[in-house]
Amino acid sequence: MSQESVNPSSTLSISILSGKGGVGKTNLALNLAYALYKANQKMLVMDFDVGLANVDVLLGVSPEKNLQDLLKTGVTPSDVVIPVEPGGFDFLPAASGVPELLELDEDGRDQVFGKLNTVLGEYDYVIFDLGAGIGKTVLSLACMTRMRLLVVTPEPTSLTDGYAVIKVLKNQHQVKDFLVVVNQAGNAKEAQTTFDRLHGACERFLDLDIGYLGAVHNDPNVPEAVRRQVPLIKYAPQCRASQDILSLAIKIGRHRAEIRSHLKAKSILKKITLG
Amino acid sequence: MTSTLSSGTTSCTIMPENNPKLAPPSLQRREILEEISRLREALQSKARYSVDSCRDGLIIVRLFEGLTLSEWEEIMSDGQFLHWLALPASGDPTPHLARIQRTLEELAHQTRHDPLTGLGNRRAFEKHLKMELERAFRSGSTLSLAILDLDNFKTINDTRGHPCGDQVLKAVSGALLGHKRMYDLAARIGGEEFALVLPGSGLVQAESSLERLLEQIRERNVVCDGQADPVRVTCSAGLACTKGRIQLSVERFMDLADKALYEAKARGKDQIAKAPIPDLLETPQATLVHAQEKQFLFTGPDT
Repeated sequence: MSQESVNPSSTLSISILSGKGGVGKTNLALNLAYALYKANQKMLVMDFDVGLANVDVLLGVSPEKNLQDLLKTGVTPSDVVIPVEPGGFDFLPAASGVPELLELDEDGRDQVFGKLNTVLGEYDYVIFDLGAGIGKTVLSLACMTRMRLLVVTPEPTSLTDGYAVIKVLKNQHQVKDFLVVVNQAGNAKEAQTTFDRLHGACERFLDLDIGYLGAVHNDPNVPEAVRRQVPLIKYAPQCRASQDILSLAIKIGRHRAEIRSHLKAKSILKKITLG
Repeated sequence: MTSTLSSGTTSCTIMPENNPKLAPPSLQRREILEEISRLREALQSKARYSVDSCRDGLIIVRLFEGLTLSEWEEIMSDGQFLHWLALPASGDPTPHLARIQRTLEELAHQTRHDPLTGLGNRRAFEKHLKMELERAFRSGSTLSLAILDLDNFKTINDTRGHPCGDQVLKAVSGALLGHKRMYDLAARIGGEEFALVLPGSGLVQAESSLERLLEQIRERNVVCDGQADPVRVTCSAGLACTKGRIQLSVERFMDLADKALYEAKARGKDQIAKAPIPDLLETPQATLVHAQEKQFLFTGPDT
């Protein structure tokens, strides 16, 4: 074994998933990123939500270039990445480059992954904001990251759709580690019941033990922050939902610290697999 | 003779050479031509031209005394009797057999090629695409299909005339032939519609290759006979690609490329539109959420 580490800055890649649209996935991705950025972490958010590229709207930025451009020769990451906040919170619109990324042959893929891994190595965390559902693109991207957050709400349909994501990823891609965030929770008990149901179903039908990252409560400040195109934590740092997201960020940070040596030995992104 | 020419309705005329007692060749040639023309008309209602599935068939033999091979060749080209074959009644059969061989090759070429442009025709294209789709699926390799359509071709025909339109078609065909790799197939599959079958090419590679092709066509100003200003030609293209992970029919694959082409036209022409990769769209049955799982998620373990 080589002593040289593949991922020297132990960048942690996280994909944020949901079975159903409208569960607050993009908002959570951005605010987690913002919270970690405030804790002096270098953050990159990549928007993969094909067709529904919302991150730019939520951030009030209008990107000119995207991931597809990054894959072209002669384009450097700094040409493509948009700084959201100074000194470590960047955004990369990725939606329109994905089919090409999945399409590459072995050589092209190695080249792109080489380039991507170099770019991503500049950050402490890379967050993939993925589209809802079980499209193959979403699933392939979800397999690439070292951590997966599944966002559900207490609504039963959100739960079944979230369960579908877990089931496909497990059966088709042998992915077994998931962390669940219950968003838009009325209270802690409702959030816990929601997670318990999902956990129970995964245990019984899929023989899978999924983890609970935590809950984010319903909060009137959320829609207001969205309207103002400002991250919630920046807009209302003291509100309930902000505090919830901060504690999720702390847990993620703690988790990264625990697995740091493990991360160093592995590439930031796993090679794409097609089910 | 039946063993070499026994398929279907192929007909055969036999003539001995060098018989001095016969009518002058020009008169005889016209009579033969008329006779075969009448026979052809009579046969046209009865006989099938395709011999693919037909086991029965007749070889019709008629002896023309004194007719030579060169005379027969004139008759053949006058009457376009390409399907009619001749054998000598005596002497050396080699020149006649060589003639049959050439005719067969010509016929085979005609069934696969478009006469105007020399590209593959629609029939050859569909056959080829079917084979390549099967190969891609069997070996799990990529295959791309581009359907190209000339932009505003009707206007060219209307304002410059049809001969000029034909020259434009030939120019585009030339660009296609010059551009394709040895193992790609270029075909004319409709009036102003062309197709490229690109085995082993994925979406990225096929797109950049097509971009170069469209650029070449754009730069190729076609000069028509007797017209001072050259015709500017552009093409729109629809691109479909499979990764060989699912079995695709020719119809479905073409439909994907066609829809992409339509999109390229709708977005303003002279550009490429890509179809979604069908291999990435299908959701496997084994991963659907079943009723009991749904029930559990809705109501919990107690019911």
